[in-house]
Amino acid sequence: MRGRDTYGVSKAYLTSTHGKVGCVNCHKGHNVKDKDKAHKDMVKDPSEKNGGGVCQRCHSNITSTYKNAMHYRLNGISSIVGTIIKPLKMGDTLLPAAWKLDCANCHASCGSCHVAWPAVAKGGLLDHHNFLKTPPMEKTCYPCHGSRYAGEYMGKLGATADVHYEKGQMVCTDCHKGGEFHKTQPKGVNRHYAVKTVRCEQCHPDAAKSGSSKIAMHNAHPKGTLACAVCHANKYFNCTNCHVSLDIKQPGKISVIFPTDPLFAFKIGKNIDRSPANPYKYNLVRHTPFLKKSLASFRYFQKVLTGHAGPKVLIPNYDALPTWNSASVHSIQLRTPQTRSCNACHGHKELFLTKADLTSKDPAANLKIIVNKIPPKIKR
Amino acid sequence: MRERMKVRMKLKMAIIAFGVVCLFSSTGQAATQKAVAGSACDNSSSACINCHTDYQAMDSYGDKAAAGAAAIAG
Repeated sequence: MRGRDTYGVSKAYLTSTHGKVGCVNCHKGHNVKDKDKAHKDMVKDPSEKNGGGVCQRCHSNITSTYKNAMHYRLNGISSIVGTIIKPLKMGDTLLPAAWKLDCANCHASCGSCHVAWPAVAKGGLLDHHNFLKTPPMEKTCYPCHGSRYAGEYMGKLGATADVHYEKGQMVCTDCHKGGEFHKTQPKGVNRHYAVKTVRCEQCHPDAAKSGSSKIAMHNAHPKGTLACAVCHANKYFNCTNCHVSLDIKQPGKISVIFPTDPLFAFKIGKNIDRSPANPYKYNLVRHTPFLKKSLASFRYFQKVLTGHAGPKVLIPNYDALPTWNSASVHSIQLRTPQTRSCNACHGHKELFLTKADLTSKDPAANLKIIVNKIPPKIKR
Repeated sequence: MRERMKVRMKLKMAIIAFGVVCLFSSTGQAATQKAVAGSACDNSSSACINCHTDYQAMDSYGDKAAAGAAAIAG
């Protein structure tokens, strides 16, 4: 059945607005019986180019902003990579090739969410080419965000699913509206925690009101001190060591492997990315799987592919960015081990990211994240 | 001279009336649709449609698709 699910077009689609346009008008190729001739010059994803492709013809109100949105540009990854390789430039390294080989798989065209599975899930039509106004979470969000947010949200990672999913049956788009994906706001931000998005207090205004809440623990922590997830998230998935590496198993074919070790942890760290959308002094932090030697294998592949090994050190600015980063953990529950009592956290060193958690391989920037003074036990 | 003017006027009116009838009649609409179809919405994709709506034919490509089954990003 995979064939029809991947390439099959439903007859119902042909009578829809998009179906009436005609295949070759978007996909090009040729209207002939012979498969090879028909597919010659075919454009697999006609929505890809310049943040909208053929969709621009009718949906220019969306594509005009989507071309600069994070899901299209992957600003997050490119800004991190651009920072840690300084003073090198992407062109000096094999990173553009690696980008195409792996990173760009998470880049989303209009079609990657509304028509087909994203590239990282190896493509295939979502629903026999019907255009889905709301992308299905399991097929579109999960393939790209499954190893962290979507995975923990749906309970596929960690001890519990998120209460909003488990009890509320909420999908990603219930909180993260289309406008958020189509237009990155505020303009020019590169990381998810700086993006204007829905906030807990919008749905829970009374509970979250620090100082005048019905919940004693909320009143005890001054406004802007703790992110809600610090108390209401369960243990979450982290990756250690290297994120990806390249491997040649078949001659001439480079594949991406994931040598990372899983780590379930719960760490409260200092929030160095404070912004109006992320104003808290302390937040949960998640480990980013990256080491100074992470890209070392690139030199070998660069030599194989181009004849020149390239710069000896590919990440000269490794110390600039931390590998423990602010996380929007999606395993929210009303009751967690932290909500049991004040002393569930106070005095519990293991819940905080401290110097003892760092290793000699960590970048210097991690020192900005660690909590130096653990809140002492509260005596009654 | 006056006769000639009258004939010219009648001819003009007839042409305008014919244009108006064409524009609002079904023949006119069909012509307009045909014009649009010719420019941006050419529906000549019958061969593509015949093949891709044939689910059994599409299943013959199933193995290849299954080999590339869904993955999760790292």
